[in-house]
Amino acid sequence: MVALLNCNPSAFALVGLLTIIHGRYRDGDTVNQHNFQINLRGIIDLLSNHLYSTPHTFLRELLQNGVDAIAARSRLPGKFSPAIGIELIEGKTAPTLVFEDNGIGLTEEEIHRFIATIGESSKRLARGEEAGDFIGQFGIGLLSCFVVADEITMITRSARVSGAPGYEWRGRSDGTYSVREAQSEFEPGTRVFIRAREDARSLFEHDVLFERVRHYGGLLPVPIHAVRGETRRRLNEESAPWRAGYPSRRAEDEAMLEFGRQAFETRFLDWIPLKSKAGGVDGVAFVLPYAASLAAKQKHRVYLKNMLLTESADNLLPEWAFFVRCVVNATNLRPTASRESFYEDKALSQTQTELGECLRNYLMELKQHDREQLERLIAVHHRSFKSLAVEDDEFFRIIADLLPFETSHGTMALGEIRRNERVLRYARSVDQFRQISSVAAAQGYCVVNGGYAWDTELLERVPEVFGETEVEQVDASELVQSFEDLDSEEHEQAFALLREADAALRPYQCRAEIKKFLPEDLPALYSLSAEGQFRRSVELTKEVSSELWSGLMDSLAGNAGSGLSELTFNYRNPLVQRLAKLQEPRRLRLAAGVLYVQSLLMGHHPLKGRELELLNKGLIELLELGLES
Amino acid sequence: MNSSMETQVEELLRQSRAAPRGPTAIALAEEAVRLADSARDPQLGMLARGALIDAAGHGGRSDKMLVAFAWVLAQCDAGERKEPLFHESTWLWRYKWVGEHVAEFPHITRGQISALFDDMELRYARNGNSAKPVHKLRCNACIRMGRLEEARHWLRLWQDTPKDWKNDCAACEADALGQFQLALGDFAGAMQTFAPIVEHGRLRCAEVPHLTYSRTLLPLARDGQAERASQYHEQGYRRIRGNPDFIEPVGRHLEFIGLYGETAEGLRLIERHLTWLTHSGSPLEHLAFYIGMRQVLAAARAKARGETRRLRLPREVPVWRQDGVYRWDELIQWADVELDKLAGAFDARNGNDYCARRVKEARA
Repeated sequence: MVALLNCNPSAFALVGLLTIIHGRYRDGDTVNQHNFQINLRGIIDLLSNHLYSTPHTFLRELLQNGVDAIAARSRLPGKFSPAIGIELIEGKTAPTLVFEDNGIGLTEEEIHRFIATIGESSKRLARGEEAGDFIGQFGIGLLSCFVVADEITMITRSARVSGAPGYEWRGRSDGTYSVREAQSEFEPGTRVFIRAREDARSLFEHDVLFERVRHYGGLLPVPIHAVRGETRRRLNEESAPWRAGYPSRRAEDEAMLEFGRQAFETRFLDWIPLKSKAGGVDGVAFVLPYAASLAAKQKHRVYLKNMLLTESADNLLPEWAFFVRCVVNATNLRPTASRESFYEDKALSQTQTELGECLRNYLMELKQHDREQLERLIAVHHRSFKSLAVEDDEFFRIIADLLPFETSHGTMALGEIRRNERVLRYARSVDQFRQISSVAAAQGYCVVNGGYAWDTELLERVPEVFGETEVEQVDASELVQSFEDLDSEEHEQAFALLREADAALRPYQCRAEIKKFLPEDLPALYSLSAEGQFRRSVELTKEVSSELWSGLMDSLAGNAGSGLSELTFNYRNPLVQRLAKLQEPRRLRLAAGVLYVQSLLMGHHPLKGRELELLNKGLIELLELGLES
Repeated sequence: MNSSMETQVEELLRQSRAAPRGPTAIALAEEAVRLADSARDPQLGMLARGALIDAAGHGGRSDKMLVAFAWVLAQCDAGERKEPLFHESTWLWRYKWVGEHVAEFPHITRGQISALFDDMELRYARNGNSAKPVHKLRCNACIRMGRLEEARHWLRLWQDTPKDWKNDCAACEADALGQFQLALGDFAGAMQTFAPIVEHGRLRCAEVPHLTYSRTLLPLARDGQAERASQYHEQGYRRIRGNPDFIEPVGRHLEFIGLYGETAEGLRLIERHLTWLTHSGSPLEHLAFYIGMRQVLAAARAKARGETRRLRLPREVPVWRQDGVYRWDELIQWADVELDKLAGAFDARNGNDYCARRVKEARA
């Protein structure tokens, strides 16, 4: 027996690890003792640490081997009734799992072939390809059991050659194996014995094991039975719940929602059947009972050819569809090497589109037949729907009037806003909206907050989609422009105030204006464009920065261009009216400075050092003036 | 009052992180910064700026990221607080994002750029980190400035320096190396470097392969592999179309479409992405976009039967018209004006004619 070169796998790159020294084995009489002649530990390491996300995966691999073997046998002439069985035998030192199928079985030549190709198969896996033909896959599947065991025994008899003898294969994780003719007679098929390794014992519990098998193989058409002493219990359903027939629509609804509850431990709002030709996909989408975010990608449960592939597929649906979680089976999609996700190829993008269609059509139909349900869904998932509406005019047209938007009058559906306003006014950012919403509301204007995701994009598309409604972007300075002007006499009176305020505020890149607006108790309104806002943040940062960074800030400001801010006095405010009559330059400048800083504070604009100084000096001087007079 | 402000800031940050990358996420984080600053709470100010750096750095506003980062470093340098948020080592990873974009603003001088990298190297060194990422960023900046000889120097240094955990992920490293190889004229080497990303799909991260596909389009098409290029165009564009951080790669897709693709698709992309330029992107990224846009417009003019075409352009563009009917000539002229302005500013800073040559090539 040749000892294996024992290398530290982590010292090698994955692919380099799998180099195979071609098999040579000695023939004995009854027992042939061989060596894998490959770094088996390296392959096991690859499987367990890099390809499979949980150690349970060996059960999926065993099931896959069984299913493949049964499929191969059913292509032969002659009848048989396919079956897979699984049993747990308690041993003195460790439990053993027995897994059997009545599929095609292996001949002696095939046994040697799967071993000889293991190196090649795992190389292909590491490159992200399929492990190879049936025999290649079979070998990798069997090897994955070494993730939980040090020794595997397999007895197998081929159905291909009638009267072929059975063989017993014994493999060890140290890289040695033996093959001999089996002592007893048995039916064609394969039986694998896996004795739990010490650190994997917790996986070898009846409930854990059977639950896992049901989990992986729940949709398989081959009956899978758990054997426990004399009793046999079928683990998988007859058919996927969404393929089954139901006596009524209501019974179907109940059954599907219950299925969703079991699958994801969530009480969903609704369910939607899914179908895609391109991916050969069928299944069901469940509508989440809470609002999800785009950033938290939804994880879907996906079966490939009825075998569980993954619980966490996140690239199955178009990006906008983050309001559902799905359970689907796919036949035409290509799994990645880990078999836990899909390759992003043409078939997948076609599938995404088709599944997206299913969801979209369902929503469009709700609009026709069950508007109340649609409104319930919109209340929770409007973000998801808005992100679809952005790229889909027709969908937007159908659903737009039900979508909620934040406005200066509170949250309203677009339809309601359109009914009330001939011109739809909106602010582009949360900051702009905050600057104007209360003032706008006081004038009776409805301004929509376009600052949240997709809102601005949707609002700008309204005229194109609906024709009759106009939209208009407003910011604080535009809003101010729409306020009532002073008459010429009033204007004459306020001239000194404006002149002195301009002089006082020039160092702060701010100019003064005067209008009449509501609410009366607001003496002045500060407004700032997005450019001006950026400039402020640059100046604030410059105040604290070192020479290098302060220079960089200057350069950025040079890039940004100018942006004056504006302080608009409210002529309806009693204080402002008294100031307008005052005509005394020093006091006017002081008052303008203090009102400027107060408006900044009210708008949550952090103060620059000089503005803070302006406030402090202004207050003290005002106090002094007050004491003097 | 203070605690309600705190919850308000936290709520804004939560919303910012949940929003798709782009202006919304940035505006929400900025609002949080303003609130924190007006309450004079440096701890919250740092937290909010962390979110702003993430949102702006990945959402197309590197200028805003730079400003937020400068403030954060200033707080660290002040040395008044002991919490981890106030220690520079917390921010060194993000310093790389700053370094990546600093050369994209023509007003920032070469002296300032090199001083920034010196500062970065110093901070990396005194925190026990390898200078490898800094060398890579210097190489990147030199390539952005068309200073290819210097780029070769930094490329060698980058490759020769051992890495540590502050290094970028394998996907980003391969993307960067391939990009440098392309810029330095090694097409075959670049395609080999990109292979694990674009062919096998083995290497990926948040921004790879998104960026990578766009880099391969023109070189592949020029190499006679137009079919492969258009396959990559499809796969790549799908990944970048939603995030204004990707103005430059969209520009590269446009350039490819203009030369080898369907002009109708190119015009649709222009309509869709031109709004990005009004509130996103650095001047250098705008340059790449205008180059691609001009390429599409020129191809469309050559194929068109009439002199005009209806387009949905955003209101902010200088040639905007209410009726949406544009003459090809006026659109191309507008692109040329923008291109000359940008290329002139960059070449003056870079001390060469790199951008002007790129623009000239696109007009040929």
